[in-house]
Amino acid sequence: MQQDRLREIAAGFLGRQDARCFVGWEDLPDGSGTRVTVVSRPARVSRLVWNRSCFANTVALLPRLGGTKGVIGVAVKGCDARALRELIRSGQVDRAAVHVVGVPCDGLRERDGSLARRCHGCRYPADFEYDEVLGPMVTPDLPAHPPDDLDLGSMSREERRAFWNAEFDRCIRCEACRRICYACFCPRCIFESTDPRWVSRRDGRPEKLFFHAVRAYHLAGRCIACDECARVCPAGVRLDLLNRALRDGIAALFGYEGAGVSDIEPPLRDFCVDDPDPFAKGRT
Amino acid sequence: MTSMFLERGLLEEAAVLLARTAEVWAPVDEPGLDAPSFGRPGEGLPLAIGPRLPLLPLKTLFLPRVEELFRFAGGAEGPVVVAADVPERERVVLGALACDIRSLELLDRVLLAEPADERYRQRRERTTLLALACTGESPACFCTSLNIDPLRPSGADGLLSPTGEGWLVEALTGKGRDLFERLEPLLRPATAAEIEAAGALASISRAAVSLDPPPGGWDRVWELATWEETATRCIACGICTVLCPTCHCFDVQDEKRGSGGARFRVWDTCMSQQFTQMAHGMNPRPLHFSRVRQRFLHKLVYFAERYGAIACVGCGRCARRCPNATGIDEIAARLRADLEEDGNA
Repeated sequence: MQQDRLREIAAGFLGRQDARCFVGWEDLPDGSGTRVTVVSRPARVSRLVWNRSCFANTVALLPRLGGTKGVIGVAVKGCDARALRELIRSGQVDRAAVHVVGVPCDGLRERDGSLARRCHGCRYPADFEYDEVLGPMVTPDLPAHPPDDLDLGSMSREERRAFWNAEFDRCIRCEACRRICYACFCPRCIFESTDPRWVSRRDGRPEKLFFHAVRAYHLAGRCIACDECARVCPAGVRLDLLNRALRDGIAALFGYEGAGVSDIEPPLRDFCVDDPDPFAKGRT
Repeated sequence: MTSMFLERGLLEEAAVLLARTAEVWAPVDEPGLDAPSFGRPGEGLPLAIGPRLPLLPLKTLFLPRVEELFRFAGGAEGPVVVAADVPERERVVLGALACDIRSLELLDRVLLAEPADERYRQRRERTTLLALACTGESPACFCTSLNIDPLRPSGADGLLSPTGEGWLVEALTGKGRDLFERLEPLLRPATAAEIEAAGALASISRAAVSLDPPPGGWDRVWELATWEETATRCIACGICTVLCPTCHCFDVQDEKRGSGGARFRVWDTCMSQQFTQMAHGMNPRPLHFSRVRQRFLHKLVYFAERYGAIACVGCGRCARRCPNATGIDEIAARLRADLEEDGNA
């Protein structure tokens, strides 16, 4: 059983002198699903579980755990591995300070047993060096799109505007979407700046649209499609579709294959001296 | 007074009738949401009167997320300040549940203490609360552990008890009696069977949860090493504070354009670092775990010391919506266990 193996590996890791803790998943108290957990003693590894409801992104916790001493063990499924690759590439996580345990995943399941929305079109990072694995870490053969997929691209501008207005009208601006995101690690955040206050905290339609547009743009090219933002949204706003629109746009404009699958710098974080864009040319 | 009955099919009509003289609010089903939200009946969304918790608690109708306080403008004669009015119209809330109603009683202790929050006070006075006897939202809620009777909420002006093909209606206060007088054309006397059925109404059995201090009190809870461990799972998203019926902290902000603008207040969250960020740069709660500790000790200890009750109504919204499913019940149990273990060590 992969879960038993995961516990063995975690216990072995926590027995190391330099081990700080191990990040994985545990059952919810009422048994209705799982959540992220941090285990620091080998005796506690029996809390760890691995199954098809382990939605939480384990890696998002790493930059927040703080501290510099010791090594943190972390269980990663495919999407977590993409996030980890991005965090390492962008200098947020020191590769030497994490012990990465790869967990092969053939797709998470929604409560009704269907393949999770986020898992469609999943790609594992290529050439990622796991320290240990529970099995071969290969991209599972999964359908590219959910059967009931909404195609925003085929809508007219007016239809799209109506769609997003309805989505954002439900938003309660708790901003859990940005705080759950693995890529939201900036020590100074545009949404939190009070002087100047760039983004109004009012909750009218323009303010909500602005918040979501800025959030999506800040993640353009860095979103690894784990859909954690959509999962935690209490209002069910389809942030997954917004992020995907940005991912598709970046792919079409720059030929970028997506964050986390390679070590190529995301286009919006990069520049080149012979940039054909007139914006770059016009500068002296 | 004869017990009266409202047929299920007349509910929408009752809302319309009340709307002639008052602003009516009720849980409605909004597409895309997996819980009802408070809305205005008759604006196209179906009423959701039932034992289902609205996503945002009742506090939104009394302490709105964003509320303008006044507008200001520069003028030749000097600055002009115009206070924002609280609409004077009477309001009726249909179908509020006991947990949410109890939260208003807790908020009253803060916001109606002198000097009272004038805007909150006016809204409270002008609102009639027509409660729904709650037969159970989910096994995860635990209002009964906090001495709340979901079937007969205290603090409500009137009560709708579901039975048969409608609701037995009862006035609990003078405000409630006024309301039912206005509804009279739609009500009929209840039958003996309906009265009996409403009397026999039972709520689902809920988990017994204790938020009370351990035998030795909460004294040593501040120092527990386990806060840091408890806090690791928390991503500081703040959903728990937004959705908590008893959280009431707000920030006051000015927005200026040209020589004019507005001052408004907006819900704040103690889970954010900015919450205690001082202008001179110091932050008394610089660490994440110290903010998590503050949130839970505020509910369990400080509010109880200052206002005589635990600031929780057992609705379970925190556990249900937390990205890592950690609710106040679990935290309290953990703290108690740790204190006992600590004491025995």
